[in-house]
Amino acid sequence: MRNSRVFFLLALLIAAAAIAWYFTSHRASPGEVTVYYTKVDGQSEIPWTISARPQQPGESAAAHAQYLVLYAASQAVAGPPSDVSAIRFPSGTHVLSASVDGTTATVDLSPEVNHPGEGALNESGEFKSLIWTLTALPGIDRVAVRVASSKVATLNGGSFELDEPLRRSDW
Amino acid sequence: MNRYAVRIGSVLALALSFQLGVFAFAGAAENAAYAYDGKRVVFETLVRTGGGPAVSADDAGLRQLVRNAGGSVTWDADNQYILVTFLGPTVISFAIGDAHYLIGSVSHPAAFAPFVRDAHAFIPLNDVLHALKLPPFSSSVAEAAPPTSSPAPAPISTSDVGPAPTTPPFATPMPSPQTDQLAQVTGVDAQTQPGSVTVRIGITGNGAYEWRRLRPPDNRWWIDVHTAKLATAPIDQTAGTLVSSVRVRQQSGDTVRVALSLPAAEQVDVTPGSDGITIVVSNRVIVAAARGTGTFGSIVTANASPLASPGASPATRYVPTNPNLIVIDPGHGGSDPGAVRGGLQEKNVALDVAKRVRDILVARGWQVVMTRTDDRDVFAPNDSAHDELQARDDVANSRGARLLLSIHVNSYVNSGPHGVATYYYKAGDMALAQSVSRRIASELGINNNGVIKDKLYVINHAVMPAALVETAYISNPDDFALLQSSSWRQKMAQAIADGIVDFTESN
Repeated sequence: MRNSRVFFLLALLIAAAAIAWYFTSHRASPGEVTVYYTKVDGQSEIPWTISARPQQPGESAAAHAQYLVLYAASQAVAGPPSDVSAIRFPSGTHVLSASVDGTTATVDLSPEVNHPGEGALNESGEFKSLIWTLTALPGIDRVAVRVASSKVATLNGGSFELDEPLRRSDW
Repeated sequence: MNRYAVRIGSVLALALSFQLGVFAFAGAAENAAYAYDGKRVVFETLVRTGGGPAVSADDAGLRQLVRNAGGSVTWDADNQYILVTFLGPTVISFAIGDAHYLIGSVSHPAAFAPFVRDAHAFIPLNDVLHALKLPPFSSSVAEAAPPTSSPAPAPISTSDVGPAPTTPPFATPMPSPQTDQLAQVTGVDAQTQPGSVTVRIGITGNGAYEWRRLRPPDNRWWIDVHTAKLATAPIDQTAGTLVSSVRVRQQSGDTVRVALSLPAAEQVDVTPGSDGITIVVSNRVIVAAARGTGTFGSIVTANASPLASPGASPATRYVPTNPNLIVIDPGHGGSDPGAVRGGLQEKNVALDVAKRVRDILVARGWQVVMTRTDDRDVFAPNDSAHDELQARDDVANSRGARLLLSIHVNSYVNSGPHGVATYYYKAGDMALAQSVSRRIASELGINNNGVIKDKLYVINHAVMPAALVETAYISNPDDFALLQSSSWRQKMAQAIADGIVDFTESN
């Protein structure tokens, strides 16, 4: 009697796990992402919704998540259309690669981002845009930043700190 | 089977003891029936107040009434609010001491402020009925209910209603200090800036406070100032788009409550000072913390912080080993010129202003150490930004300084942005940044961009309160002219020094 109860509970647990897996792995892929651009006041964000490629047949959820991070990060770094006033990454900055590990996205930026003439307003606004954009994606709550494939403690201009993954609460 | 029997027995015993407790408690309460839509419920804990009938959130009649409408009642003693929740969802929320209630996010005036007696929360019955679109409880609709453990009370009539009390009528009496020992809440000043609202509670004297946030989606915040008297008439005002209302009331004989209603979940920072409490509501971060305490006046402490990031976790008060020592950090230097425009270099402006700040502070009796006193790298020429910045923090950290203040010049890719900004990151930095920013705003005619949270290495890795002043934009023509002016640099240095001293006097 006792054993049958244990088996029943175990079966229930497995069924629940299977259902959870099914719904998370077959969740409808978002057809769009929101990119946040930081206004020149350095405080508030301009949200832009852009279309994104949905998950393709045969594409794993992990591969699609990685695509979304790369795509959204590239959009954030590229900045909004030229007629929109927003803080922008230094000219020439681009995303070298992006990956996802658990809830942490890692973005590798080209060395142009480390611009010595930039101040606190620039650096803070740039990374606020990047972090808010990526943490708006499902399952991402922090972003690690690399520069030219290396971990850096700070940027040279405004000394914005990059040695640990950034969260929204850093602003 | 036996196990279940024991459980059921326990529940019944608990229910019985609860009922006995209610009956014992309801000495001054009444049983009164209420009929509506062909239904009838009996309120067992009904009490009369100057503002109208009150009923306990535990009242079986109230719960039956709400249940009939498809809802439930929750009394959260920790957070001091009562929720009436319906599927949909629609939430009616009452907060103890607040003479307003919310239906969803819309505020309505309540008949009286809900209050607590003997751990039971009493809410305005007619407000609940109004929210449920039912007729009010009055002699015209009430009927006498059969007694339960006490004789049937007379129905409440309007003639029984006296003048509205200014304090909760059944609040537990607390021993009150002498009036001359009470702090005086002198007023509230709300200043709106882009993206934030600063609400300053002016208080003379010493005392303690506590703040709490109601559970989301309720965006109300309370700050209870203890051992205090409200020296003005009750205050009701709005404060821009981020703060729907600021209300100040004498909550009890020696407690003044400041209630903030926010239209959305925003970050709220509560910082005590020598002359009151400053609340900053900003749309940057939504905090996780729900409460905190502190003291204001001659001894200022804060043992909780709403800032949720690791660098700003609940603050333990920093105790400097050199309380008279202030470290001033002129940004950049040596091989690192910082921002450059024409012949003007950030490192030279920062050093000049820093020296002026040092001289002012030394003249006032402070010990001052600068991370550099000439044009050089603090760590080594052409070193990494990390090594250079850590070396500056080491100067302050190794000496147990009272505070660290770093001086810089800002720069942007075009000439648009202008003015000064003061940066902080850790919870303990904010008061320093605010003190300095306030002085800059009042003593200089420059555009003040206020206090900004930013993860800058030098302030994040200082163990003591630290702030970074970006004095002006070298990229803006007007600011560029100011940066070249010796008299303006002196004014900036004076304002920074005054702000530092303000901070030390209240922290």
